Amino acid sequence: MTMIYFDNGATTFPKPVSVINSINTANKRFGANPGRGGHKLAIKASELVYNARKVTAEFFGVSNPEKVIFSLNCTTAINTVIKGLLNPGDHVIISSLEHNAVLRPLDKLKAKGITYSVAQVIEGDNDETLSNFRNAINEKTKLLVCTYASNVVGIKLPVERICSMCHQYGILCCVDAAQSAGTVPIDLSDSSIDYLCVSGHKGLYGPMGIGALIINCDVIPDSLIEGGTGSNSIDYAQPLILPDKFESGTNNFSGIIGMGEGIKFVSSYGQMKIYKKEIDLLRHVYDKLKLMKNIELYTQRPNIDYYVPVLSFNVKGKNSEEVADELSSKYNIAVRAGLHCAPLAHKSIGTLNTGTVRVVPSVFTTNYDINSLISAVYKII
Amino acid sequence: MDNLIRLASVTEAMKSKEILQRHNIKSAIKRIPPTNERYSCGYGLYIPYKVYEAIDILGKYGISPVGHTAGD
Repeated sequence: MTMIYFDNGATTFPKPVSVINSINTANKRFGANPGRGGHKLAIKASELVYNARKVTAEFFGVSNPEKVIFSLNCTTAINTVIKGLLNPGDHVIISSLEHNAVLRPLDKLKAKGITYSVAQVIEGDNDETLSNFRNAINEKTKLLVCTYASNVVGIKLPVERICSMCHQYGILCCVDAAQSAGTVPIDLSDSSIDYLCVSGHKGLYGPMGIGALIINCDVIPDSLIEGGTGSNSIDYAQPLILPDKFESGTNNFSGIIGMGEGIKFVSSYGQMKIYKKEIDLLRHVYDKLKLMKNIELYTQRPNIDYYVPVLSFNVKGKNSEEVADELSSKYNIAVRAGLHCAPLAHKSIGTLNTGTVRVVPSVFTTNYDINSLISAVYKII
Repeated sequence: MDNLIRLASVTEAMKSKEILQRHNIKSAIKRIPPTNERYSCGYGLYIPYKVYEAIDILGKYGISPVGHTAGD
């Protein structure tokens, strides 16, 4: 029995053939260290990295490729912004749906006198959500960090409205787009987002171990780590030029190439086409689960305006991990259970003690997959 | 090496090469030899001709080379 994969919120699988081929080619034919040597292979590798940087910049509407900083993952990008901008005494606003990628760095910084407030996201009422963010501002607020969309329940935040409002008060805005980059069109050329943090291996269909920080303003954070950049080596001080300031040490060469190819795949398939397809598939799951007596759902019926394709549910009387285990062992269906590294979000929906079963489709998900899931859940309840 | 524009990073070198290509100026990316100057041990563009024109063009795109040697 072929496995049916719905854990695309953790990482999309399978990857497009073009992505796999690009990674193989990068390693087989161009595996020199980019930005270090001067020989032909090193220059070619640098060129490939530059091309991926350019593809990423264009995809997100950024005119300067050097403002795309490749990182290990979205979490590293978020940490770079948080720890590179904040000083003792600063205050930060986050949403009630944040991932630990945002929560944990800020929790650690409490020891240095940096504080944060949590603004409640109200499903279906963006005005009220915006108002909650406004009410969280105080005279020390320097930064807003919020998710573009929840990785637990798929609720999209009114990010542009929140960021525009924050700019009125001189607050910088960092958006965690781990679960939305590649799925939802994000155009930074007409955006109040200052720092966009993306994961390369989810909706952008690249391999694991790659992400990016895209800087869309003139306030450049301090570097998180320092080291060799292949440039200006005589100077003991870290270069200030981008992207070198943030890219010390050897980059994930094949990861960068794969992410660039993943972006090309999304662009050529059609981003909105993928988004609509996934939402439609999830709506079908939602409608069928809604009819089942013992199923708990946590949002309204998903739609493109207010949700990304992420759905959480529980079977009454069963632990989420138990349901996921049954789906895996009996039906060969892969879902993610538990807290999804987002305790704040689970606190908001009242599932901190149980977690939820999370279903996330990808561009490769078929109607057969969806019907198999529905049928399996029906047998489990 | 003559006709070499020194740039601050390999990314800037790549971007500069691309810009100059659009203006029909050929260039090749070269490693800058280590010297005692600032920004040594980085990348630059070898431009067989039109070095000053190339510098002017790059300036219009907000790129300031960190140094150059011109033989033309």
